[in-house]
Amino acid sequence: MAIPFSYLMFGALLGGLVITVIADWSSSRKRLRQDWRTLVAGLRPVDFAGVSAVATDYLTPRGSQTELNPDEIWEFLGGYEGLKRMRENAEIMLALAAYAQRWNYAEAVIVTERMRHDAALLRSSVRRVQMGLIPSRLFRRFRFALPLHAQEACSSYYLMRQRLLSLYETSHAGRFPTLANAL
Amino acid sequence: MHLSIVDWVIMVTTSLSEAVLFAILVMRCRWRSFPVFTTCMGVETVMNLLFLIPILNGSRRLYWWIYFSTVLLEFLMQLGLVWEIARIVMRPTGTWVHDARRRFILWGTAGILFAAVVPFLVPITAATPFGRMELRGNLFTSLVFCELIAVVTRTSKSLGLGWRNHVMALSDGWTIWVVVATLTDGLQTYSGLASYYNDLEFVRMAVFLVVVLYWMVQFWLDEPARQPVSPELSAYIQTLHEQIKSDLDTLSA
Repeated sequence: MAIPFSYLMFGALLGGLVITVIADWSSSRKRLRQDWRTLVAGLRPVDFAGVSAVATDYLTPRGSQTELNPDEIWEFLGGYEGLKRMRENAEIMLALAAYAQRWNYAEAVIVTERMRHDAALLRSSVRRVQMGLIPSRLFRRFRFALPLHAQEACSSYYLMRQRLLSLYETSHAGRFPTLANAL
Repeated sequence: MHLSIVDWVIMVTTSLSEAVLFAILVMRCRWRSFPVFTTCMGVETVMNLLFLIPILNGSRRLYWWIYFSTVLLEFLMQLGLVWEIARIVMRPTGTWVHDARRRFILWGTAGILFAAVVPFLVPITAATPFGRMELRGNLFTSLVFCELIAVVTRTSKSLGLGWRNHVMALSDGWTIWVVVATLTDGLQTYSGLASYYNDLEFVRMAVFLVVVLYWMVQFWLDEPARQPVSPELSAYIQTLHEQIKSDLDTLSA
């Protein structure tokens, strides 16, 4: 029975790889074909008031830096679902910043680069949160730092949003209100 | 060596198409942006001519000698081709986008290691060690390129990187061919060098021919003009990347 099982595993592996390649390729080409309105429509709602409260607490330290406790941070950012939404929106926000290169090349290139940096931090923080949520002793150190990583993710998202809105405010006032409304 | 009419048609058409594609890449000056791709097509054209010698002489031994002495060169050139796609897509302003090169190298290396292990875990149906080696080699190559192109596509999407027409055409054709090659190699691994090995080879070659024809059209056409990156902007982005790297290093420490 060893050989058929190995072929089954191999078939599943090969099929999985091929499906992944085709899905990635198709999704990447779909994103490239999307126009501005479709991109904006793809943004998922995030409670910005909560995100803003968590990010401001992290980015602009004031007198009391322990105002928000871990449970409040988690609640304000909408839990794990909120983090997932932020990560998905970050990809679309990058595409929207790159889109702005059509009418304001120099500024949009720089803003996009900065946003990519924020997006990298966001992704890495969400990854750490995900590891912290795994109930295993192996990932204990991530669990302890979970509120910190959640706050980092929130701050990166906050910065990306602010950078994108500022870019559109100065370079395409016509599209700014729609974007601000969607974000 | 006996070749059927269909084999001859596929072989001659593919060789001619590759030669024409090479001429287009040179004449339309595409080699400036795609030096590796142009070299690949040039070398493929020469190799096609080389393979004609044993086929016309009927020397199977010489055929296999040429095949095995060029297989490493072909693999390295294809590896270079994926690197070229990655370099063009992930350096839109002349500087590698932050995080892109690291991710590409990291995931690419993991993919190569994975592809190196898989062919040894699967029972290969072939009568001789030579046949098994050939099937394992083909499977390894297809898995490597399948994974690498997936890494490039996924990284570019998550970093919001744009694709211009030529590099997109190159990548689209490459992806289609690599997917078909992976499937045919997988089936060949299962079937071994049985009777439908040649039929699967025929499918793979026919798809490659279509891809080469597609590349011929795409590389003949011009891309829309792109706004040039000024030296000042380029220098600024370079500094920005260095600053980001330094910030991240500090954070990681």
